[in-house]
Amino acid sequence: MHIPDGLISDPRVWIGADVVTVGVVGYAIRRESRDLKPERVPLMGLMAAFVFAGQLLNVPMGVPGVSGHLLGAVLAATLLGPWRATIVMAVVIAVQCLLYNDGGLTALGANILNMGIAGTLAGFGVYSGLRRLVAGRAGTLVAAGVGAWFSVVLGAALVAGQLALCSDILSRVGVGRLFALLVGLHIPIGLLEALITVGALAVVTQSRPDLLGLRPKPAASEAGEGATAS
Amino acid sequence: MRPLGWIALVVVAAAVAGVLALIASPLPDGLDTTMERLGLHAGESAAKAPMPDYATPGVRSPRAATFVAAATGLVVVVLITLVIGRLIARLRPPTPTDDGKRGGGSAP
Repeated sequence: MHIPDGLISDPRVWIGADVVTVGVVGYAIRRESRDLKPERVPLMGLMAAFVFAGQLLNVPMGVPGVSGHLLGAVLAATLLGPWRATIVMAVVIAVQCLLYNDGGLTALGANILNMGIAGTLAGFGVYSGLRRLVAGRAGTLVAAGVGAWFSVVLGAALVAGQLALCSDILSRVGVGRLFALLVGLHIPIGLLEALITVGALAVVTQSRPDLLGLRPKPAASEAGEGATAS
Repeated sequence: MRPLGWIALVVVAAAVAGVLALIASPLPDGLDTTMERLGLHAGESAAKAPMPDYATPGVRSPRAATFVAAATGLVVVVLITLVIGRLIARLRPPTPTDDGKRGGGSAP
């Protein structure tokens, strides 16, 4: 859902998105400048690589003629925390724009807002809310899946909202069709997102449950050494 | 992990990115599909990208051009993230709880 240049026809909309994005990413950096330890930085690099690679792989969806790809915002947020994940997502989306013109330069703020900020913060909100309801590893995975699905659908709704704010688009296509198409198409894409997010977290929690704040498996058998050094 | 281990990891990841870009579906994504169906169009690009649409200029084979572009991008993304992460981590004020280093001057 990378918005290209010229699609958001009202400059006030993309400038407004720029302002919000600069503000939120600036806040994220300020917040992380208090918490981020140097030894946690490599995991950020790893997540950036995973998100970038995952976004490359478009997969045909059930809907004829439509493909979707991983967003990765909630996956990053569960492993890095929402603010650190926001920074990682912003880097990935900015590089896609500047290196490949995947997403327009004028729409960069909007794209970071829709995919990098809303996805990480609201998706993470859904995840942590649900996690409180269902305990344990299974609960965590389900919560991450729902949060991941939500992050994609929310991102699509935000794109629709930004387009609807442009009066010429609104008068030409109408708000209903805009939302129905964008949100509707992203409901299955969100399922793909949930699938990849849960799959990746299932692998991670197998060996490093501590990364998600889960207790390691009862150390009766073999494990126990690995995760103790923190 | 040793620095050599990290470099090996990034090289493998870059190759994986290149392959993923090659096997990716060429079908339009959700937003492109919406634009097509509603008759909405993108405008001129506001900036010139060095590798527009995941193609490396000067590489004749389209498949090689895609592979190189995606692999390069992965390395760029990782490097920028690590640099920004380190810069942010450096902003963190030292706290007394930091591995027993207290009242210490600057780290080497």
